[in-house]
Amino acid sequence: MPDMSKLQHNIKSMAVSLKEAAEQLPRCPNEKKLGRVALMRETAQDIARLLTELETEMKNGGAGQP
Amino acid sequence: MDRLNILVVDDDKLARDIMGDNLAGQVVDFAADRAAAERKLKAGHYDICFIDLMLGADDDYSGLKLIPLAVAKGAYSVVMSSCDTEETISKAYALGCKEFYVKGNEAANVSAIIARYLQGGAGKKVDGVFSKDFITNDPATRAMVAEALKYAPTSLPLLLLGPSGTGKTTLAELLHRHSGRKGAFVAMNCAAYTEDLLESEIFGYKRGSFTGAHENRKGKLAQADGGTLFLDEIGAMSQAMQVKLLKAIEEKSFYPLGADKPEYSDFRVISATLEDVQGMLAEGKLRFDFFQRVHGMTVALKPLAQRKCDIFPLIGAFTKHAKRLAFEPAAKEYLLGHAWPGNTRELKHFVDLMAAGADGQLTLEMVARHLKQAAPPVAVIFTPAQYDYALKHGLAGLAEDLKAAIIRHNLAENNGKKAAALKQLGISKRLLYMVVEGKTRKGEETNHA
Repeated sequence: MPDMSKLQHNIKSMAVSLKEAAEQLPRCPNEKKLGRVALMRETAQDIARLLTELETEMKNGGAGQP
Repeated sequence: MDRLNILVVDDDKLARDIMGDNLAGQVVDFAADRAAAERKLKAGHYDICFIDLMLGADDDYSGLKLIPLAVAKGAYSVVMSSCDTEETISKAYALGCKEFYVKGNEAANVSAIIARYLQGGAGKKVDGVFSKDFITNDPATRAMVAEALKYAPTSLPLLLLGPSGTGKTTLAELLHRHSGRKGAFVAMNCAAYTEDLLESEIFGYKRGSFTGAHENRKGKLAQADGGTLFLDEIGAMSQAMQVKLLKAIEEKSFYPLGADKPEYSDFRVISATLEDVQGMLAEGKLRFDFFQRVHGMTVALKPLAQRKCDIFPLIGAFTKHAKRLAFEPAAKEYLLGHAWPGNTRELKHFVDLMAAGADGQLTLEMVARHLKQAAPPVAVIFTPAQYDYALKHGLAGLAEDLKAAIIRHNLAENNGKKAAALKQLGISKRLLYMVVEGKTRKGEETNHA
C-alpha cells in the first residue's frame, strides 16, 4: 500500500492530467475525441479509487496525514 | 524546422496522450516506466526528454534516476512533475535537468521549452541563425539578436527600432519562428492605411457594418490567433487607434466593426518603428500607455553603413540560388564606401539588378553607375551651389552661413520679432544676436546659403 504522501501526489498528478485533458478536449481531433474521453473516464475512476485508499489510510491514522 | 526526437517518460496514460497532442509535428516516443525509459534512452537518440518523477503508484521518484542517463545521452532534460518540493527541484537541477515544471500548463510550457531548446538550449543552433536567417557578422548586432531570441518563446511584447530596410520584418519573422507559437505570423504596416481602413484591417468587420461590407472579414488580430502580430510603423497610428489596440492587447479580446459580441485572440505583439520613440512620446504622437504595452524588450538595428562587414555576406545570401556575382577590388571598395541609405533593402535591389544584367563580373564603373543613379536627390538637403561653396570655403563656413541665412529669413517672416525666432528655431539668444549684429564668420556679411 503506498504511503499517504505518494497517494496525494498521485491524486494531484491525475487530477492535473484530467483538467488539462478537459481544457484541450475542444481542440482534440474529432477522430480522437471518444478515445480521449475514455482515457479521462479511466483517470477519473483511478482518482476515485485513490481517494478511497486515502480515506482508508486516514481512518487507520496512516503516517503523513494531511 | 527539422523535426525533433522527443522521449516522454510518464506512467500516466492520459498525460502521455496529452503530451502526444502538444508535441504534434515532432517525432515522439513514450515510456511508461523507468526500465522502458532506460532501454529507449540507451538505444536511441533524443533531442529532448520530458521526465515525470514518480513512475508508478508506489514508485520512489525513480524519474530522478533517469536524469543523469538522459543528460549523458545528450538529451535536453526537462522534468514535468506534480511534485515541486524545493528539495526535489534542487536535486533535479543538480542531476543535470535543464528545466523543471509543475504539471498543469503543458500546452504553453511545451512550446516554450521547444523554442528555448532551438534557440539557446542547443547552443550551436543560434550560430546558424546568423548565417541563414538573419545574416550578420557584426558582433553588436549578433549579441542583440541573440538576446532578443531568448525572449522569443515568451509572450512578452518586443519593439524593433531601426531605419527602413534594416531587417525589422525579417527579425520579427525570425522571432516568431523561434517563439514556438503554432499560429500564423501576421504582418501589417500601419502607415499603409487610412484611419478607417486600418481599423477594419486590424479588428475585422461583420457583414453590413458599412457600405461595401458584403461579408464577414477576419481582421489581423483574429488572423494572428495563436501566432504573432507584427505592427510596423506604429507611429503612424492615431491616438484613438492606439487606445483601441491597447485594450485589445491587454484583454486579448476585441469587437470587429459591426459586432455586438467580443472575439478572442491569443496573439503576441511585435512592433516596429523607424522614428525616434522618445521624440514621438514627447510630441504626444505615441501614447505612453500604448508604448508601455508594446515596448517590452527593445532591439535597435543598426543601419547597413554601420555594419559594413555584412555587405558581402548579404550579397552572397541574396545570390545563393541565383547567378553569383564577382566584384573587382575597386568595385568592392566602392560598395564598402557607399552610404546605403536604403539599407539591406537597397542592397537587395542592387544585387537583383546586377544579377539580372549580362555580366557576373562587376567593374567599378558598373557598380558606381547604378549606385549614383539610385542615390537620393541631393537638392532636398542642399543645393549644388551650396555644395560648391562648401568645397571652396569648408563645411563649417557653409554651415555657419546657412544658419545665419535661415535666422534672417525667419526674422523677416516674423517682422523682426526675436522671441518668435528663438521659439520657432530653437536657437540660443547668443546665436540670434550674433546674426542680428552680423558677427558670424568673423563679421563678414554672407548670404550664400
